Amino acid sequence: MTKLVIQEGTLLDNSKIYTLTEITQICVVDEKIMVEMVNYGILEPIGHEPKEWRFQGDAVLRIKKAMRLKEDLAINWPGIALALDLLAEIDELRGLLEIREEKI
Amino acid sequence: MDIKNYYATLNVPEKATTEEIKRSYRKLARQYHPDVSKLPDAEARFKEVNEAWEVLKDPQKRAQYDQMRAGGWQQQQQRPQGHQRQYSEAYTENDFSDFFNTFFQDRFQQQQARTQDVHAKIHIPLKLAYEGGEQAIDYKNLKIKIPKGVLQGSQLRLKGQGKNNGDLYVEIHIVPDPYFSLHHKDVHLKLPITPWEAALGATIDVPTLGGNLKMKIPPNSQAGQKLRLKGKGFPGSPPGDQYVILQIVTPNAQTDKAKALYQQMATEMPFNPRAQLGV
Repeated sequence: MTKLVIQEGTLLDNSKIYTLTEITQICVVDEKIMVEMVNYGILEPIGHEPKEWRFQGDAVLRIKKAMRLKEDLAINWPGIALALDLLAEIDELRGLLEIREEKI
Repeated sequence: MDIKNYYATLNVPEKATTEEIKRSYRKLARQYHPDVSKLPDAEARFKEVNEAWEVLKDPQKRAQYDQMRAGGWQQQQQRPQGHQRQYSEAYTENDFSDFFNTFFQDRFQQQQARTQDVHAKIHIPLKLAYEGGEQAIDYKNLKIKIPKGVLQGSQLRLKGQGKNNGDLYVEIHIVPDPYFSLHHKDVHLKLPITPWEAALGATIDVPTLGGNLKMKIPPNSQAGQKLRLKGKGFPGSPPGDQYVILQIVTPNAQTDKAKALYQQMATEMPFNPRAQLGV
């Protein structure tokens, strides 16, 4: 009988900080593309230059989402930036709606 | 194997032009994209839409497909078994159905999976998110550790646990609780109180995720008022708060005495709550 091993993942929240190199490795995305995403405001790392850039954990998810939107829906970078902002706003509104919903 | 109806999938008539099909495909792709749609089967529908477009956009494939639908279907079914087996051995899992893979997969086409990563979603109760613990997921029989205080929509990355050495991303969805609502780190609770507790004030027991607490209701409280229990929400630095929203519940006038008491209130405390409405 195999013993069930409890898998522990990395929580991708803002307590994690990644450098540009680390995050390109995790996301399997070219550094050039990462720079473009920063230029279009899709990512907002702390730091002035690419080698100083520090990304928070949730940037991983944002990058993956952006790449999916680009590849699947052929959206350009400004469009993706807008789409991500709007999707985040919709999530926020859904959350607020849930608080106002009637419970028992 | 059943033949798929790609025209129906893309909401187009069989005589539609490629342009018309492309327009419909783009609209459906936007609608069902898993990052955009909240439908539970969005990913499956998105893949179906893509597969249909993959066939119908190519005049040759479309012609072959139309022939199959017209009645060449039986002949196609009689392909030698060896041919089919070759496909399933040569290629790893991709985003297309068996039907597509059998008849439309280009022989030497490198099917790139959209990603080698695997995305899974788990649904956990609020209490488990608050306390942390473990939960089994529907993938490779894995059991994963749920971090204490994990928030709605958080994702865990399990390196190398995806396909072909990709990663596994597990998205955590906290199921609606019958009593508490969670918004970011703050917990909201609708608290029913009696009219006398509201009017006179009271100290009452209030549930929180960490256990019951005594809370003071100030006198002359009104329905909808929010009271804050600082730090009693989800853990963190700083921790979230618990907001208690007062709901005043009036008991029914069941007995003659109760009715008399209500009537007395009406007489001794006349006031018009609808004055602002002009009635």
